[in-house]
Amino acid sequence: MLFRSLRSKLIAILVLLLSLFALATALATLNSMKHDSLSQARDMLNVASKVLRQALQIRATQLSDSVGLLATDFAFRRAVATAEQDTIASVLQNHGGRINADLMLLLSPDGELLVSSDAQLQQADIKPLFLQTGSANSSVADILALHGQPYQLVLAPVRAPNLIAWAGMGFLLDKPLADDIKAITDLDISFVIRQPDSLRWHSSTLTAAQQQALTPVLPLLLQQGGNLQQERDQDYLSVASALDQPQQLWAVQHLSNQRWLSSYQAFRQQLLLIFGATLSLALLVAFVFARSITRPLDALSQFARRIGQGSIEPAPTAGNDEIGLLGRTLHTMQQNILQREQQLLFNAEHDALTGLYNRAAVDRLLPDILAQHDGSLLQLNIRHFKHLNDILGFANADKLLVQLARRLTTVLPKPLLLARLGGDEFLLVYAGLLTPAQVQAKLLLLTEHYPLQQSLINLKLCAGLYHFFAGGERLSDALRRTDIALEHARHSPQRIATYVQGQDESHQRELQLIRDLPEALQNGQFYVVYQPKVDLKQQQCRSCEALIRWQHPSLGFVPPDQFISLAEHAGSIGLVTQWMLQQVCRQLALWQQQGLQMQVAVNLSVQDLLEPALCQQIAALLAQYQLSAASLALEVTESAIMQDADTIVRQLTALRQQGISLAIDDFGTGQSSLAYLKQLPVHEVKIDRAFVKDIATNSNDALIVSATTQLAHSLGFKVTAEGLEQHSGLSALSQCGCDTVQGYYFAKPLTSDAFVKWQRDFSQSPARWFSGETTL
Amino acid sequence: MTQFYALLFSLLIILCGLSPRLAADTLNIKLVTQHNQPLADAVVELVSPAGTALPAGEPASVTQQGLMFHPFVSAVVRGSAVDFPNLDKTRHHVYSFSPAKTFEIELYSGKPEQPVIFDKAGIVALGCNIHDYMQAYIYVGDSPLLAVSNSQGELSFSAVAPGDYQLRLWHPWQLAPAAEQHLTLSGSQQLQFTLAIEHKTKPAAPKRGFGQ
Repeated sequence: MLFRSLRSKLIAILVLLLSLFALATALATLNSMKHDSLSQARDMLNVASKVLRQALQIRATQLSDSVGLLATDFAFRRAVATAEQDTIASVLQNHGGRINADLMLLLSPDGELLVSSDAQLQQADIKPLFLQTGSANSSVADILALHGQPYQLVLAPVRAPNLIAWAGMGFLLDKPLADDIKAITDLDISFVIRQPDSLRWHSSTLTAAQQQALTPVLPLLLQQGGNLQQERDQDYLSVASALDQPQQLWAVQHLSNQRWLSSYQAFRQQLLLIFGATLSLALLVAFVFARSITRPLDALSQFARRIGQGSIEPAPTAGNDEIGLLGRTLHTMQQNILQREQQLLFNAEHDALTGLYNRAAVDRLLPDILAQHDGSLLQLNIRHFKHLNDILGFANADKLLVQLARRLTTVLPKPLLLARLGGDEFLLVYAGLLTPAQVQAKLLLLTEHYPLQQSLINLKLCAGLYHFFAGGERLSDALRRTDIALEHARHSPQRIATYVQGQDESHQRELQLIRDLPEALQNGQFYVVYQPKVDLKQQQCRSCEALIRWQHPSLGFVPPDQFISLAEHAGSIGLVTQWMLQQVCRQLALWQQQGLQMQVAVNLSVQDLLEPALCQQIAALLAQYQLSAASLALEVTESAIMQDADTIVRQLTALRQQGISLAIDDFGTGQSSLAYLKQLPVHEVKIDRAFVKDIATNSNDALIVSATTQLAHSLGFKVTAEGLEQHSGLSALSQCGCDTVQGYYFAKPLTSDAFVKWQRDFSQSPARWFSGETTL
Repeated sequence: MTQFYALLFSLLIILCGLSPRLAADTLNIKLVTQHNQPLADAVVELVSPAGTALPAGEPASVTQQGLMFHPFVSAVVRGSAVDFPNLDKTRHHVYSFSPAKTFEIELYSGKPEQPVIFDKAGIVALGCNIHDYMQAYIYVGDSPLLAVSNSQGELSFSAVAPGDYQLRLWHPWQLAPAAEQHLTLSGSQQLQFTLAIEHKTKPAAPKRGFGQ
């Protein structure tokens, strides 16, 4: 767009207006000027026409006088009176010569042509003039065309003393006359004769070429008589006047267009010059004016853009006009924005409760510190703060946090950065590497004597310490590692832990496992292995424990205890259990088709047991694969039960009522209460491998196993010993009264195919396993 | 009304003329214009068919006085001599280019040495070469019975022998030549003739310049 900018619009409007005005003025002026010029020219021609008539009149008078004088010349009269043709002719010749007459003639008093210097002249030619004499007997003059020649003819009476004749003298309208008239009127003049079928130039002050050019317009000129004729393509403005009565003789006067147009053209030239100059000036003024408006506007626009970018530079100075007002308004706006921005920034980066920096501020400030210093990140956490919250109430707990924050600010040396990361976690950043002992000293100052509601409260603080080195750390890494250290501190008796190299990597690996687990379940990275349980009395294998295995594509084999505890933490253990139950039920159905009767145990997590829908899910699975409930066994760890005994007992009772076998896994390692044990609706306890694997050599283990077995039996539970590795332990277990044994001695966990094969082998000669003849 | 009286008067004159009590030898002629106005300076010539012998004409003169010819019209019988005495202080140059008599008396004062003999009947227009307005006419008749009407348009012939005559009428301003009329005279007669003229002002001397 050409007129996008205000400046070009302003200029365009100004120039357009001025141009229109100037154009209108110029047109009006020029038009009127031209009209005036033309009208002046017409006046000039009209005057010239009158002057011509006057001049001809004067000439007629002069000629009349001359002829009159001549006619009274005595000798002339005497000669005329002789009535001798020759004498009269010669005297006419002679006296006509005196006054330069071109035509001489003599008429009788009756108008009869007596003598003529032009032999062709007829009496009739003269008659029109003669008739004018009347009875006045005085001179008459008129212009006549005689034989194609224009004459100014004068008739004067010849008296002796009575009228004896009329003397006639003709004077040609010729070039000298034209020149004379031109000298008077200052206009070119032509004498034109109209002939029956054409017009003839007789004499003219114009050149032949000019006459030639005017010839085409002559008829119209004569037709219009006294009216002016101006042909566009002609160089002349002309007027024609008839000189004689029959209108055969015409005088045409010419005014050169150049003459009357020249002043008009000069004026037009001047006007154009003025117009051009005015326009240029207007353009300049408009440009300057527009610039004076748009320039401050531009500056303000730039300024506003910089305000948007957060610039704090002052507003461009401006006058007291509207633009100045805009500038001041923008300046005020800038100030307000700055204030609000600072407020927002403060709010964004400060914790509303304690006034300390918040997480966002840490994100902003810490990278610089990490880049510039070697130093320590110290993350503090109030132990069991949730508990405090519950006891004291949120309001008081907040007060406690505020007090802690205040005390943190007083701890010396002052940290480079102090922030509340959230909840009860605080971050302190120090230059220099703090030792755990220094941290301990600080914690001592922070733990005791917080006055709250007329009592003093002591806090237990955990501290995670991380050492960083200038330029080598990413913010997220540093914070995560500090957090890892704090996590370790929570479980450490000193409640202080320093990050150790590698913790982060295992942490990362755990994160990856948690992340990958759901997808891995779908992708077949998991598989199930089965470890047989051998009935000692009947020497047969009728049951097994299903165990989950994970072959991670990049991390390789992942130990189950690792990913299961991760899954429990991450809350995704339900997925694993579901998958496991599905796999096992399918395998069970397959085996039943193959005629293999086997009870398979699946481990449940405490979270599975807290899931109310568990019973229905299992029932549905069993129904889906048309399995009897007895073919499925579920194992629960002792510690799991203890977490929410009532709920879990209720759940287990429901499962038992479905007909599913239940077992307590890892029995003997948890802090189980015998009181609970008696209530548990299980069929079986599985003694932990810790007591079994060395039973052959460790009499204490044998004692514990024996006692436990007896206890279990007496409570009505069957007993399975886990982790038998040597044949040597087998007889001890038999003596202890264990019902079934599970362990590497019989078989490590096997894939389904391998398990079927092993089971077939075992069934064919179980005795040799008990006699110790097997080769593993 | 005037015309009516004039006509009445004319008839009376004619009737008087026919009266036997009047003398038979006097002929009174009244001349009027076409407008019935008295016509002065008209010439009437009575020509006897018998061919009367010409008596020597009485010496006549046309004087120049006050830059005028006097009289304006003169009538003389053929063969008469006419003097042109100059009574003015200025000289005059009397001329005539008329066919009846062409002459010229160059600048003179007083009386010219010789009178001019008019030996041919006709009209002689007199002019003065130095005073263009001066104009006069001399009627040269064949018969001695010549008379010029006075300002009342009257003229008379006395002692005219009774008999047949040709009557000629002329006036310088006449529009057309008048036809000759046959006239039989027997005793005194009163006649009236009408002649159409172009009325003009008689030539008169202009107001004098040059301090005179």
